[in-house]
Amino acid sequence: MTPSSTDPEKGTSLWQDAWQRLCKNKASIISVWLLGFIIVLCLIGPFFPFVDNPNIQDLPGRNAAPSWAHWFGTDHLGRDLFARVLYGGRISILVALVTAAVSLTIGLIWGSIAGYAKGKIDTTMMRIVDILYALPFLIIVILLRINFEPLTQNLTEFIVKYTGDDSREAIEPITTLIPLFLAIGALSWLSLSRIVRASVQNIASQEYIEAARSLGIGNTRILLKHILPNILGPVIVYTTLTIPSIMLFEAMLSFLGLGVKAPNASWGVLIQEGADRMFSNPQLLVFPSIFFVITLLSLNFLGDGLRDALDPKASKD
Amino acid sequence: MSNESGSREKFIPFPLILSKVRAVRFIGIFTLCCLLSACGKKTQVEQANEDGILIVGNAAEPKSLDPHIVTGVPESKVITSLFEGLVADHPSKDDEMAPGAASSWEHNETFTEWTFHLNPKAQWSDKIPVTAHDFVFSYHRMLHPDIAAPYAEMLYFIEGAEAFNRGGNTDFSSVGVTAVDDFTLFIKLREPTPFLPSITRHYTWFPVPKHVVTNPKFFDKSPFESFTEWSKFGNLVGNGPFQLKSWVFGGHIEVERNPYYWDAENVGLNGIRFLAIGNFYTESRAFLAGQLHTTYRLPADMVERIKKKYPQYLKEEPYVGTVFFRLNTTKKPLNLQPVREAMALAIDRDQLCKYIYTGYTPTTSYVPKMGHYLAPPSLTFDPERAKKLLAEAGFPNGKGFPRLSILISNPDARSSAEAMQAMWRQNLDIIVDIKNLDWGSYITAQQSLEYDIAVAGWIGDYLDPTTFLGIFTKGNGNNNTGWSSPKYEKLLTDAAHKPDPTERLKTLAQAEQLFMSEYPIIPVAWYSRIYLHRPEVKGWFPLLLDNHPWKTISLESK
Amino acid sequence: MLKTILGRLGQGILVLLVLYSLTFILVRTLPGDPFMEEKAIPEHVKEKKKAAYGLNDDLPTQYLNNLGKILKGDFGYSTMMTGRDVSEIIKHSFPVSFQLGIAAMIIAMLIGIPAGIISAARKNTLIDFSTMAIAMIGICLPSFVIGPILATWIGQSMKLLPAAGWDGFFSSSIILPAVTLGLITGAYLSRLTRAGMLDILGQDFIRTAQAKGLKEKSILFKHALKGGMIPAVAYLGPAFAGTISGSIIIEQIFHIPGMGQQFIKAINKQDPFLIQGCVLLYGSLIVIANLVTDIVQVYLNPRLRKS
Repeated sequence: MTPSSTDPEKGTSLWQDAWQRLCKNKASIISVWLLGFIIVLCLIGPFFPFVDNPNIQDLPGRNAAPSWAHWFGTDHLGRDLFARVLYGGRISILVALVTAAVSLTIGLIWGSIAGYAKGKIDTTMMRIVDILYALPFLIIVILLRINFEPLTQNLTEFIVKYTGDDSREAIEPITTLIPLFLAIGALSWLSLSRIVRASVQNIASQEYIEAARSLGIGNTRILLKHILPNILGPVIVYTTLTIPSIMLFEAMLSFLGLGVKAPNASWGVLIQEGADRMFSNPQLLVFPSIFFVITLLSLNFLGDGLRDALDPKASKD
Repeated sequence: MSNESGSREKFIPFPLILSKVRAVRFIGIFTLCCLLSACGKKTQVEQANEDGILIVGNAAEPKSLDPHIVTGVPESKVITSLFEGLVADHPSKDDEMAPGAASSWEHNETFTEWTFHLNPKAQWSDKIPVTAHDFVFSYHRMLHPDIAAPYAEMLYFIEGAEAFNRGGNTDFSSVGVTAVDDFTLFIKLREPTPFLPSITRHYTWFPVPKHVVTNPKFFDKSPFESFTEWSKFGNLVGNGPFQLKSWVFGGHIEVERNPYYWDAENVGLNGIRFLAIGNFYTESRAFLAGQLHTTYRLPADMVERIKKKYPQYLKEEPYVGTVFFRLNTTKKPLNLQPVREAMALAIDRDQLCKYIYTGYTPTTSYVPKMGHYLAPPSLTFDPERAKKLLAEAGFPNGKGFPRLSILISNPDARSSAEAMQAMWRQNLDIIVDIKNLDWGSYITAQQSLEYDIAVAGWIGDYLDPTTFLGIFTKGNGNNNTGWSSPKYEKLLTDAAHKPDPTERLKTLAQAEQLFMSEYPIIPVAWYSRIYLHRPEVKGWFPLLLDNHPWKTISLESK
Repeated sequence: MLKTILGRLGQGILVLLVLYSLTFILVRTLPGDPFMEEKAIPEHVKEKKKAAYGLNDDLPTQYLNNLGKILKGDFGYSTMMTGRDVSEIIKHSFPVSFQLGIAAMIIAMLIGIPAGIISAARKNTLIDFSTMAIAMIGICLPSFVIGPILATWIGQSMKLLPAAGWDGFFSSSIILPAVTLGLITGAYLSRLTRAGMLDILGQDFIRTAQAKGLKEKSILFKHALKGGMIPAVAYLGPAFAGTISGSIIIEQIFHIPGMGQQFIKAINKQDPFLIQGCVLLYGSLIVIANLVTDIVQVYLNPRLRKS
């Protein structure tokens, strides 16, 4: 990558600078590759014929060691562990992405309105955030999760009525995740809204915004075209760094039996099953944990790298 | 961890408090100390063996120790160490009785009137003698509508008890239990009950200390209200072989010898510690770490490994309970008996017990074998006949059969439901789904008949077939199948009036056969208790009700 | 300063009110009722029980009645633990959770903060990388993995420490659970301490001190520490909250008779009063922890005093 300084005519944008810095960060690059590999494996892998159905039980062949037929061996019900890890990855990634998206949406809207509007609206909105922020997170999520449960059962039945009974197997895993999305998303947008607000205030105080306003450009347009693109940096960093905690959260809920429901499993469920059966079948713990930890580590390193790349002054390293 | 733009220098390498070398040395010495201190240290069970304390895994924190307001097994374990009923459990024989608070008893010809002679030496743990008045008071309290005792039904054997409990009759003297004198208890029953002594072994028939429960110190209202201060730590007084020593809420309950127990010199243990460990994997870890003598349950997927590595600790014993699939007979096509029978015949119970209900026994009927009772076999695996029946019922090869769903709540039940799914698909060509509800909805759905098939079970309270057969009467809160049969209930009533035990059991077997021929439920397996147990526990024999009398247990310390 | 404290307290009370209302609504809308057992209870018995607990009144009445009682210190009776009132259950179980939480925080601070300081002082060396790598693992491995691993390895296999149970704060049974909880928080603290320290150490006044020839120890501890601790201290509030949530899981793994176990059981059994009591207590703890952290932060960072 040629340094931009040797070409005096071509200016560089903030993004190009950031990209260059990111590429220099070895940890981030490795993380991106690892993440990419895992995501592709989990999303595309199951379509390949050599990946078994993760839910088919083979009781006589349970707790088998890794073999050519079962790359990671089988679990306590004879299900292929490799397939379960891949499908589990789909669910974990899905939960993380959707929840992050929910969180992002609410947080962006809330924070930018608060930061741009200033005054009373700002104070009220952030006061609400403060109050919600003080609530014990896990506990509220648990309560929400249980409350949303009957909702999804009804939703599943509703959809199945139109799509036929055969689709139930495919629909059920997704609809049973909805309480999770809602419950975790309901509270995880709070920190993001603070960051968005701070960034928006920062940008909004600058002169070119003042200028745009005096030109008569509507507030919404200013927000969307001028402010939002400029706050994306911290927002991206923050979101990347919260995905690990969302995944950990989902894993915790699964441990308490409130996460994904059987027979579908996320990595959190697999790890919890493995932790219990450490004595009888250690591979149940080892393989899912490796995937889980690598994903989280990569996300963390990537997030760090993004933060360093986008705002070198903020680099604490 | 990117590089800073060069200008900051590293610090002059000056040895810090915790320099690398020192750190390594520190960690090394610390670990060595730990290992040394652990060497030769006794495990908790070894220490307990010496002290004569039995450490028991007891699954859950007892809701209370008041025998009148609890229903669970963990509660009963502790209660049976603190209290004693008229009759005591025998350590090794399911159907033999041992003297308890009563040293002898007799009955009339028709088994409707019983007289219990109390042991005059029996005392409460505060030295007050146990009298027949305590028993009368206890049954009065248990049946009083205000206390809303969930297990009041256990006393309905007594004449007039049900009417009193339902609030129709407020005069307790109409209930058939009286104290003839201080040490003689007379009980009149509503129907011949030859197995009454067996029932009095259940904690619902235990006495509570009248002088303590009615102590105004504990109430300012009538002692029949639900809230039971007298049974808390520091207040509780019992007539059993042990008394409360300590109660760490949510942690463990410890009991110690009761010196005033009438048979104290034959009590083998100095104390028992009940650990309320709810997570059975944690419990197994604790057992293997030498912290428990016996566990409540071994998770099924650990059985194989334990068999290989620690076979001496594994126990698999028959238990008085049946796993069955409950059918909603009000839902088409489950309302057709041939359909139900077909579904029952299409199940290979041997396979189920080999892989899913490992250690359990495949059922041949509904009520497990108890004493001299076992109904003639009525369940088989016959896929050919099943197919035929289904075709005759109008669904040849499963065509036109609606898509039913199996209701489960416990994730453990899933494998069982999936196995049924597979068997029905394979043998009958019908497809069923699995519906996983939270426990609350699972119970409500069955009680309101809003389900198709449900994975369920029933554990007996005492060793008589009526504890299993009695729940399938019309309107019984535990029936939930929509099925009832006047013929069936007549057989039950007939049996109830037969004083001759053998005749009675024969009639009950007839009732069971009628019940099975209708298939409102599909029994699959008879429970076994699978748990870990240390060999140094002596006096512990397999019992169908798992009611090991604590006083006959002892520990062998090397 | 006093104004800030009072303001925060007021906000805290508002938080608790919101928490109470939210919990009330969420618990009352749960499907089923608190008296469900596998063996059905006769209907007339169930009705009597409901009446005794006041669960037959309509919702607004219950809401106000409960609130009134709570303000008087009466948290009602538990439905799943017959005859016990909620205050009694909390009185017995909360101290255990609290002790576990404190032990975990102590371990977290004892391990995390020195690790962060050392890493900052030896930036980009092997010590730095290895410490931060271990910290990363601590952040990425859930407690319900680390817990059973420690319990199986050190408890079951080596029989060095108890794998389950609780014998008090000063017994060996506290070690494994507190270490499991503390390691994770400690990992976060070490990263934050390192970041904060590096931030301070990069500033001019430190270079001046170096130039003046002050010893490393003195620079680190007398000049840099106060400012460098800011991010770590700011995190202590949420860290404490996290320890509370984490203890719920740890208690199951190690069979610790704390409030987390009761809370989970209460949730499963839909015990409205016990859930309420636990939630409010957790909420109050977090409010207090945040308040204390805020005060400490203001003390450490004079720049915050204006607000």
